Amino acid sequence: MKRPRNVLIKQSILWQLVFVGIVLAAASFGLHNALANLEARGISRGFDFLNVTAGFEVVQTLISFGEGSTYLRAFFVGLLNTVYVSVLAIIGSLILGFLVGFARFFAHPLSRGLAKMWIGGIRNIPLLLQIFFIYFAVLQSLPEPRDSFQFGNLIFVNNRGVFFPWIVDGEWVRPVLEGFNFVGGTVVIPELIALALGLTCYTSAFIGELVYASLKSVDKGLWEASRSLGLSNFQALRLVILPESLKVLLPPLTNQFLNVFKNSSLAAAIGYPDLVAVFAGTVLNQTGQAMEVISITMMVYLLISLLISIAMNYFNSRLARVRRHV
Amino acid sequence: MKICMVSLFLFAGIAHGASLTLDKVRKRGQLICGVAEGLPGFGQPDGKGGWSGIDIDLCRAVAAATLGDAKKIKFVALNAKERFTALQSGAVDILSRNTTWTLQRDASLSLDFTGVTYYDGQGFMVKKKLKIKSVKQLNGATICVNTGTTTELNLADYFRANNLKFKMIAYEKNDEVVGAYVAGRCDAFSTDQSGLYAYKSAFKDPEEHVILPEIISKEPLGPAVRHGDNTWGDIVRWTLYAMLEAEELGVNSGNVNSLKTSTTNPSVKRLLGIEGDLHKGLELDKDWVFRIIAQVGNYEDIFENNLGSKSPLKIARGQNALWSKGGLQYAMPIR
Repeated sequence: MKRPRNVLIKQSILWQLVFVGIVLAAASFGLHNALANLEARGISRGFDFLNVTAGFEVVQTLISFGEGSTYLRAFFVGLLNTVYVSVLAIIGSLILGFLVGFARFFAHPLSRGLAKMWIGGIRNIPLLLQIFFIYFAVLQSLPEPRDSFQFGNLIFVNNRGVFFPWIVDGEWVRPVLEGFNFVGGTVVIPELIALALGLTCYTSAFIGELVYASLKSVDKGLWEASRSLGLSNFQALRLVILPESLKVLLPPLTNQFLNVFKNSSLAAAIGYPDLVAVFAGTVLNQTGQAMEVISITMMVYLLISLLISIAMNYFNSRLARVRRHV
Repeated sequence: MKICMVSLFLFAGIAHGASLTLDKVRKRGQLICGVAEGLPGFGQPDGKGGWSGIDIDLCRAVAAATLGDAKKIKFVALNAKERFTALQSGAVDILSRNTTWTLQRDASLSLDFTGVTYYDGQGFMVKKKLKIKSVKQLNGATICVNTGTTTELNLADYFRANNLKFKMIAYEKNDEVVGAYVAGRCDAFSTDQSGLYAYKSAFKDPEEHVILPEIISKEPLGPAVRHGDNTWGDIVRWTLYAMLEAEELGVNSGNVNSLKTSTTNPSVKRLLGIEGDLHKGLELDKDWVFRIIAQVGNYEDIFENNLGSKSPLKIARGQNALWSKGGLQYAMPIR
């Protein structure tokens, strides 16, 4: 027996309301219970701790952080470091991913074989292991500061990082060996290199496969049509095939960007001072405010992931609109 | 793990009243003890399916006192970040994991520290080839530490107070701290001095590393229980005192059986429950101290077995000698 459409709609709305009700009830029970538990155990709560002086050091800070800086400032230091390594890894994996995807798409057996090996190998080894491998491989292979590799007395590479000149107070300052290490100029620490490289390689394997699949998904007829218009292979790819394949590529690419961002939290393992290491690590331990710190950290990851999704959706819908006008 | 711990708060029931922990432990027939993930001398799996270390022996002593059998324990390995939440949420009955007693932890984390099993202090290890003799020479050095410990704060305070510059790299696990130090990522490795001795003893080339003489902080390490269950806190506190008192009175795992029948010393009689009814206040039976000493040992036994002359660490008693021998270990009187 077929029920009328409006009854079905009413029923589905009812079920949705019931579901939302259950979720809300569970959430509010959890919250109340947690607060009551904290109260009963006399654990102090609230967000006042954010204004307390942190008093620890961070090895890489994009904003100034030192004596007298608060836990709130430490939060921003960690957040910026997370965003920094994520952006580097997203750009890197996009470039490397496209290279791998193209290499796999083209008929040349060597390029195809290499790309297949890259994807098969990288994709199937846990990311944490790769990061450890790169980190300790990088550390072991580099010399101590005194025996740095140097390039024209300007750039120095050792197991403390890559040191190069930078503008300090409006003047170029060269790194100089002083005591244990180089001072002056700026440094890229090995933790950042290892983490960015690990995330880039890992994600490039997934993006490579996506690029390959999206190129494959374009109708063969389009290649033939472009050729009959007199376009070269490169022109066909640039003007016809790539724009067409983006339609397929973009939605899953969003997932990869989200993965890079979330995977960057593996930083804590190799001592890169990201949000999880600095805020959900050191700050949590010094203040003991587990509920607050973990909630803030989760909210931040949620918020930024949603922002990435919104940006990608906007880009996707614009692409769709442009295509319709052609 | 952290998230699991937090969610325990969300859905765990509220604990009411006093010494529920003792009742819970007795009903379960097992003590659940939060310990280190692997720190030689303090708490580490012994490779034979069991655990060893001075923190482990304290838990075994509590199990012997409360359950009559030092083996009735489940050990839960906790990292530095998880440990307090695990105790607060009731996932463990005692936290015995080289944990420093501080005001902040005692007062605002709703914990009670019940004593000091080991008086420690933060030290530094450097490679011998640097030819460094003092922490004061570490100006501008890079220092590797374990995140989620008091180490980070002590380090910053000490260097600031002495007007020295440094760079700190904090790793989540001790294995990576050690790995990075050995690979040369940092000039010095800083943690509790006992820990430095433990790691050094495990290096391939221990003679190539030196532990600097300075101790930059007080690190009294001891067991902690949840705040509010005072009877349970008393049991853990007096378990340690009983082991110290036993050392002072010369009662050890070797002679406790014969002393039980032959002793004429009233203090020993009181300690072993032959005279008096001191056990009643702790809700334990007469033989609780006897079992601790017979099954686990006195403080000297557990120190020497895990950290001292009978262990690979060979740490001297130092500050951890009895007060009567110039150390800081002092048991409140058992009477």
